[in-house]
Amino acid sequence: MRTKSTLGKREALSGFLFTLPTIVGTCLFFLIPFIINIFKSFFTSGGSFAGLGNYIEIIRNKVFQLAAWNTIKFMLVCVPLIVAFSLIIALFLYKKLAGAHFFRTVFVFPLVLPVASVILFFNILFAEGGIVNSLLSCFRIPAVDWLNSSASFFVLVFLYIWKNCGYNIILFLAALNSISKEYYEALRLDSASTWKALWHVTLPMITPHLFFIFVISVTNSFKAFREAYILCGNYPNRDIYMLQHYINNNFQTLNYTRLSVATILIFLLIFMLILVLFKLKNKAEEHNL
Amino acid sequence: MKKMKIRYKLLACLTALVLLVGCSGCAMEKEKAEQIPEQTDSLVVYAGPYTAKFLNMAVKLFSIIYPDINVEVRDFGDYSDYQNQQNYMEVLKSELAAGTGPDLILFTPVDFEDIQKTAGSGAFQNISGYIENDAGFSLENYNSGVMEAGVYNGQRLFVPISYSINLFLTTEETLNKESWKLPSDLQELYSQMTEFGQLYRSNTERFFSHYPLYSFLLESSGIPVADWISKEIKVDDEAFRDFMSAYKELYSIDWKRYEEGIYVKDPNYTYTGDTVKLIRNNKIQYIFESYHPSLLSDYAALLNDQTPVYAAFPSLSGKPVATIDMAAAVNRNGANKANAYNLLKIMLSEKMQTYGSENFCLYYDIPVLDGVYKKLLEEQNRKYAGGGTPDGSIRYALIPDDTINSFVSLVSDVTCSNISPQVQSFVWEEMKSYFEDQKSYEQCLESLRNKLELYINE
Repeated sequence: MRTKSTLGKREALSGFLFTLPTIVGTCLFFLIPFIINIFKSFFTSGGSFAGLGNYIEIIRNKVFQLAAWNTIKFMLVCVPLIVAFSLIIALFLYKKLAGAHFFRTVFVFPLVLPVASVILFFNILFAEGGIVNSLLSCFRIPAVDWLNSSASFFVLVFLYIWKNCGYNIILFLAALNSISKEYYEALRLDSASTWKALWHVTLPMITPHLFFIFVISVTNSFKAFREAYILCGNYPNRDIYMLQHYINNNFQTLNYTRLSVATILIFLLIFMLILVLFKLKNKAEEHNL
Repeated sequence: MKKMKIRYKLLACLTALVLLVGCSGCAMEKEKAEQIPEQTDSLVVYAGPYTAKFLNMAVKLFSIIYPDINVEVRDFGDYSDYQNQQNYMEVLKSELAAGTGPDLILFTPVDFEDIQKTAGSGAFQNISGYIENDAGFSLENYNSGVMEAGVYNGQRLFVPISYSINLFLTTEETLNKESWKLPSDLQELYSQMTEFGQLYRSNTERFFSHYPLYSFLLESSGIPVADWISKEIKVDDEAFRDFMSAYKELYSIDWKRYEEGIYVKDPNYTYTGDTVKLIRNNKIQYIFESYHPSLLSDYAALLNDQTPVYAAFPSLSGKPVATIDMAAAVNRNGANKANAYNLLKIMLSEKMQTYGSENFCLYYDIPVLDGVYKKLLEEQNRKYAGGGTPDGSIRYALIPDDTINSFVSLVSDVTCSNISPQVQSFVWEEMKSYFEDQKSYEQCLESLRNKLELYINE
């Protein structure tokens, strides 16, 4: 008993030591600054206590409202689209059709490309005199100002899906490969359709992975700012003005009170979303059981 | 059941906390004008690439007056390397955002693209109270029109150290060739721009000025574009439309030529006599200058064979519009505010204002202390009169005292520009398609309004 307990303690200690650098890093670069940030958000830039005054001011701010709505809208449009699209592609690739290897590479390729060169390519594609408008003019369709009009939202959606679907496909393929072949063989013996196999075996078996991919896609959708920023600058068309634009621009003008409050509000938004997703996942698992 | 109880308790605690925080916030005190704080034994300042020379000299004087105070100067290198400026801005902005940074911030338009917006963010200390309670210092002897630029919502958040205004220089002979006179208001300037643009569109031998004028014209016109304080966008005004229509006519021989590499003067050539030759050879209509010693030396050179005349760019208000070139602010979170305030006063002293002007380290130009500039111009006039270029093509005549006096009066009675470099770049980015006939005026205006709305309301 004694030996077992000592071993357990030793294991716990080594485990702790292994995780120590991560814990220290997280505390130093995330937790402590975040707590300071929360503390600062209750004070005016002059140092007087403001209570929830800063939060009320920001929530009432029209540009913040626009940025928040755009970020949520982007997420609501992109996440279901990318999850569905990458699942469909993964299912096709899983079937090991001819050229599957080639397409796997094609879809993963955008992942390894540097963002700056991707944006350069998109600029060539969607500039006023770019490739897309030249193609449209062949069909006598009037040119669209893709990057300076409401159309910029769809350009960003397209860019997000193109850039991120490769990663989701890899995850889905890993999930699909982990499903035992016996389930499909059993279904084949029962002469079940492909649709039935998908609905009754594939989807339930990949639920945990699906949940993970969903969470990753949600968090990635918040990072689409980087692309929007390089593509259209810090003041883009109002349809792609995201919360991170708001934060970044306020940093440039040293407005750290707004910066703190906006960051906390984003954190709360992501936190609530993940919480809801966890609840849904738990319910789905309970239901399956 | 137990779990539910704990949840309800947590919810109740959270609600109570929120109410408490909210209520105490409502009782927030209004900020009062502050007294000068207690003096400490140290001072921290950052020597940015564009401000280092002036700052180092001010620190030297400070150390003589306050020998017991330890001054820490963090150097960011020379402005010849662009990376130095980037490093400086990264450090400065991050530290100010974190509530640390230098005690006194000395800056130029290169550092903060919109001084008013930055000042309004709360990073700078309101020093109105310091000045009110300082018996040994007053702003009476400083250019009031320029000093007013540092006041935001009744709080003095930064203090200008130097400023500049944009001027035109030409000769009666050059004007007579076009049957023009010096433009006294914006409408006259617009009609000259339109006429010149139409006449010389295809003549690459004639230029309106030796340098593209767009941004200088806009900033000097005093046309309101967006007011960050009142949150108003004024691009629908007639004044804005008139300006854009006039510049559209000039665009093809102004910016467009510059962009296409058609220069009237070698862009890397900075020798002052060059612009004088361009006027003499009837290549340009106006010498544009915001650096006044150069303008006066050109004036002195032209005095030998022609009748030089100059004017400030016309503006909407009728007064020349000045741009703040260098300013200083006390860090609101600085630990040594009293020392920072004392260093600021040294920067405003006659000794430093003269030093900055004489050594060309006031970023561009005119010191804010009355009288200093006149003295400097008089000295320079005497020093350079009779001299000239080594090849003898340019000789400097003595400028009459009356001219110096009227020049100083012109550059002293000014108002400050309300267009930040950031707003200027928005206008340029969006209106360029209109100048190039790619989009209609309304389409460009719509995009511009969109950007400005985001900018002033965020």
